[in-house]
Amino acid sequence: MATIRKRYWLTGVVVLALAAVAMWWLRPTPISGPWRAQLVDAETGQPLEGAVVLALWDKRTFGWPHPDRNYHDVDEVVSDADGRFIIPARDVSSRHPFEKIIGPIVTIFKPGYGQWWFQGTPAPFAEDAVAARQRSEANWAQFAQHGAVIVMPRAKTRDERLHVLDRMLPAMEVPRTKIPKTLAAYSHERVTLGLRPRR
Amino acid sequence: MMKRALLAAVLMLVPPASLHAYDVPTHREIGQRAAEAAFGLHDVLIRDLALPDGRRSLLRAGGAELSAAGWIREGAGEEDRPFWRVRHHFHNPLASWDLAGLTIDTTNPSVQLGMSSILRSQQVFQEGPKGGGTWSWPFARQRFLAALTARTPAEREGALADTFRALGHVAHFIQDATVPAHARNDMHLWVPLGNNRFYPLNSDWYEDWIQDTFDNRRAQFDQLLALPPKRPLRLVFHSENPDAPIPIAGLIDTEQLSVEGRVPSLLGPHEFGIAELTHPNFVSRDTIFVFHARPTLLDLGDPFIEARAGGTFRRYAPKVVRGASTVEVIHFVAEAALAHSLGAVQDVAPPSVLWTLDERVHEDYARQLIPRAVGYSAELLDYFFRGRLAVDLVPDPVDPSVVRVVGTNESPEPLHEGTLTLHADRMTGERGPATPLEPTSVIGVAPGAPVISARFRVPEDTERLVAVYAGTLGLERARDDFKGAVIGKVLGGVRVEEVFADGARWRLRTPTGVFDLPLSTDLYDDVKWGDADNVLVARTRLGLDPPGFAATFEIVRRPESVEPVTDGTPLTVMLQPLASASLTFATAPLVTTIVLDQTIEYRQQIGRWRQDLATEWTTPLNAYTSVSLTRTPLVFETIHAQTLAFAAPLPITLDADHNLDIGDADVPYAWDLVDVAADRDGRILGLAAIFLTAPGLEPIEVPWFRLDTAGQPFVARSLPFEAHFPEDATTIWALVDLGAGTVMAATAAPIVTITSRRADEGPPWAGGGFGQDQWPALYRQAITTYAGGPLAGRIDELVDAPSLAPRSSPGESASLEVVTGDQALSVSGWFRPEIHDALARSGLAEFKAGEVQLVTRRWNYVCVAGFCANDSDYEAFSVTMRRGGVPEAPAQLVDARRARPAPAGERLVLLGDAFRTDVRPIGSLVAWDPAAERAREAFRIPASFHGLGQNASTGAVLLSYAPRFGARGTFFVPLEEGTLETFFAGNDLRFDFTLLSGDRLYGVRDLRFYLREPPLRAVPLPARLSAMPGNPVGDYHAIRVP
Repeated sequence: MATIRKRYWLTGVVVLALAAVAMWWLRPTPISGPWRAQLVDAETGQPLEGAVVLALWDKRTFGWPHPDRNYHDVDEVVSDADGRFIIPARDVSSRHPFEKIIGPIVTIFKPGYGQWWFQGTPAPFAEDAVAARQRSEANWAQFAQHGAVIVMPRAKTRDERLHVLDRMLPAMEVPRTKIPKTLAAYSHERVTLGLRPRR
Repeated sequence: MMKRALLAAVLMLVPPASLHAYDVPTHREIGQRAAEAAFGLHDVLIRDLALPDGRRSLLRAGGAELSAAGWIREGAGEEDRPFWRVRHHFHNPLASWDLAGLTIDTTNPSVQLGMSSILRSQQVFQEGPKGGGTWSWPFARQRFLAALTARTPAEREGALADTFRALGHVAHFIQDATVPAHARNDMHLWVPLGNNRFYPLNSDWYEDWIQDTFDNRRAQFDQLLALPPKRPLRLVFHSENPDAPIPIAGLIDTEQLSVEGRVPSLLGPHEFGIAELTHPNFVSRDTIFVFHARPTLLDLGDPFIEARAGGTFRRYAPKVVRGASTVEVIHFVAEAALAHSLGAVQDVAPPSVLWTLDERVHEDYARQLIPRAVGYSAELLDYFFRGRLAVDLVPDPVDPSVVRVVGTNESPEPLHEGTLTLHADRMTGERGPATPLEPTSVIGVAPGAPVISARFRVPEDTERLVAVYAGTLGLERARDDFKGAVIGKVLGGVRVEEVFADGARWRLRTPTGVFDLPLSTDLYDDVKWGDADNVLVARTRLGLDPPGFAATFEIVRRPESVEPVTDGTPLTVMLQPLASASLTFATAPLVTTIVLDQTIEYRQQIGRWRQDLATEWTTPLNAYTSVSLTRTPLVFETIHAQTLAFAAPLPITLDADHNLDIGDADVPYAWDLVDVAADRDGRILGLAAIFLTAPGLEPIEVPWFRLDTAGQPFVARSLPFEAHFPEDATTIWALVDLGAGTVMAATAAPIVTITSRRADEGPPWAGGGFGQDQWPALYRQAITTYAGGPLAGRIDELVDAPSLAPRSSPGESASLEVVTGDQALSVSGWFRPEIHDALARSGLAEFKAGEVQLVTRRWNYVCVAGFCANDSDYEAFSVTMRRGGVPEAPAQLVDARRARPAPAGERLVLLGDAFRTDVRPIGSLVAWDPAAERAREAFRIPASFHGLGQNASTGAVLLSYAPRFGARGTFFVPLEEGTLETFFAGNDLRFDFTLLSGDRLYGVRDLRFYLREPPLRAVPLPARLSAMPGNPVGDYHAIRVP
């Protein structure tokens, strides 16, 4: 009899434990984003249509002596006639106990334009490192909540365009099938700059 | 196994949020930047490996396609995967290399958790596929050798991609050595062992900050990367350590650093390995003034306080050069919160308790360390490609299919011992070794010394040859499991194609066949190659109705092949129409405007003298006999002077009326469309020559006087005078965008100003004194007195002088000075400034008026004695003519070629000729890059008959040369700075040779490339065009085979 009672207890504990794990596993998680922005020309303030925006998420998992960082997901959107784009909201939490999702890491490509920044950002190194971090946090919060204005400077020379081209493709771990617009833009820009296109 | 499981179990408890570290993306970006800073690599890819896109060349491997730099980037990131590879990414420069890796050295004995990154980078085998594979330096060498020698193009391409990826992996070790934690054996995750010096589960703050900057402040991260790379001195490349003998070890550790020895300064020079620089000059989170001999508190300068956000303050200490006040790092450490309290409580506190590292410190660290991570990585990449062979093929004098590879060792180090082999690509792309006829070993070739290979027999249909050296290069020694350095040099690798007219059709000839083009010779007068590999440009005859046009077509080629797509019978090449442009313009484009302001100082001079003759009637002769005869001297006078003025702007447009083919007007100029081309952007371009004739302004009539018998002038006739262009202002060249109808470039400035003052004389003196019969200019007043007889009286009349006779000796009694031609001349804008400057070096740029002719002629005008048989029997006068002009004439641009393919911004080759003392002109060959507004005199041509070859390549042109004395022949003239012309004596190459892209000299008779150095020798490349009866000559181009 005692054995049976003990079994009940044991079963109950196991069930409760499993239920707790399941509840933790299935817990509601906050949704991040959507990330909204309007892209404008740094000199003229005119909206930039047709820019390819690549939002990349990595997952950082346990590792020793480094954490491991791998591709998680990617979104590809294009700015509209007003230069606006929206990176859809997503769940950036992880069910894995030792995993964290990082992102979005945003790359924006518009032929003839350089690296983007949030409007109002001082030139790099023009402000204190602490202030730079705080400003950055505020900008990203704005980007993820109410929308931000992102400016892009013109790449005025061929060398500047090549510099952008060299950095526009994500690493090979990002499935190429998920970034067709980026690949097309990359190939087109190569041809524009006198290089051989992708095959 | 048990230990590993235990360790894993402990590590599994670690919350991931605490494990921020120097991440994969950071390594990727540093790898990318290093690839950009590795100029040697880029240059080798372009010049030696025939990859015109250099580091941006796309390479496919395993289904992925990335640029060369992209593979480096990828490798630099992937070295951290799987994550346990990271344990081999540490190197403590104060430890012996077998113990310099990640170590728990607080145990006794120490526990070695990973090997030194130096040893790791030189392993022939690192890991199997599950461990991420082997991506070491030896592996990179092995794959590079395969990239040069493997059989199929896919194998070679994949091997080259692997080469770059492996280099990225090796560069990763260098990048990690710039992280203080990695050079100071500071494990990021510590296992607590109960000692109070241990801290559980900590990450590296510096790496965290870098990664946070990358993820959230990308512009700032990019600026850090953009700082000028700091590269080491080349002398770091050595290693005497048998465990890692490849000299790249020195990039991390040159084994100069010791506890008591000199500490390398951050201010340079960079003669130490990067770990030797990082270790004693920076601290990591858990090694702030502890565990290592340097740095210490003695390395700090005077602390200073800075405000922080939120109204707080923090005290920082800079790092200075020990014993001096020179600051190396401004924010080196920050004082920790409660430092003073802790110090007070603990009395003698461990120094690390008092100090911490914050964002400002990390940023200053990054400013020092990131440029070194980039610079040292770039040096690694350049070191890999330091081997250079400046070689070419030299054919055997007897058997042209047998060649040697001859040239110099352009490497900075000697080729100590290795093999130099030759590999041939067939038209299928398959590569195989050319058969050596002698041993292929190469021994002891110093830098700059000659390299002469064995003789090799080359297969007939070879399209490309690759010379490969494998062996010891300097200190990079071959050994049993390592073949040493590898050097490659691609020779050839291009295919020549020809387009030519054949009856009713234009046709395409390649090494694999002769194909029809869907272009008829009825319609198209000319078909040529455009600048792009696949583009043809065709032009019709120039006409008004229908108007002529030019069109471009793209040859459709098979995927990843140079073979054209054909269909039908006979096989016809598929062409894709691209663009067309009219050869006449809706609105004639303006080339320039000539503003002419010319005056002519005109005068008419005559000469008079008086003759008094007294006679008397004499009987019984019944005739008059002379009593006395006197003559006054001949006197010249100006009887009319007038200034004639011409002024007008003359627009020079490419209108139909002035076209040589279809127009009627030839004043003030005519123009000809001498060439039609298509640039890489698909624009259809025309090269136009504009020939100035005469300004065509309304002539001004000038009265010309004679004297009547009473000596009074009267207008005998009127003479028209016209404006003139300067004698040497003849031709303007213009490059025109035919599609847009705009002038892209012209050799003249938009406004050409010609200000001229000329002199002219009324006849007959304008010609120097000739033609007096037709244009009397001497008058004699004849007064004859008759005493007695039937004519008694006096006759006074003015008559023309008798005929003049040339006089050969001096003794004249009168003289006349005649002035004609240019007296003052100012021309601006005739040459664009850069062309002007290039021509000025040879004195061929200026229009400067001066005296060009001074001639004195003597005339006998009246017989005064004797038998009128000798000059001494005559009175005479002289005429001195001073003719003005441009004594040192500027060059006339007599010919021009558009370089094909044109570099960015176009290039024209201009031939300027001017006459000096010989009937053979001197000349100047000018390479003009209009968009860059740059021109250089490529060759100064001595007096000779000379002419340009039929086309110019991007960087060279042929020039025939026939001087009065000395050897005739052809110059091969390079157009770039720092290159010298070569001369092929005895050969006029203009008609049997053409220049193709890459400045290749191509013989159109035997269809082979020739060496650009005399004597004239063909090499067994490229694959010959298909044989055809009569070997028709057309237009040729060279394309790179994949």
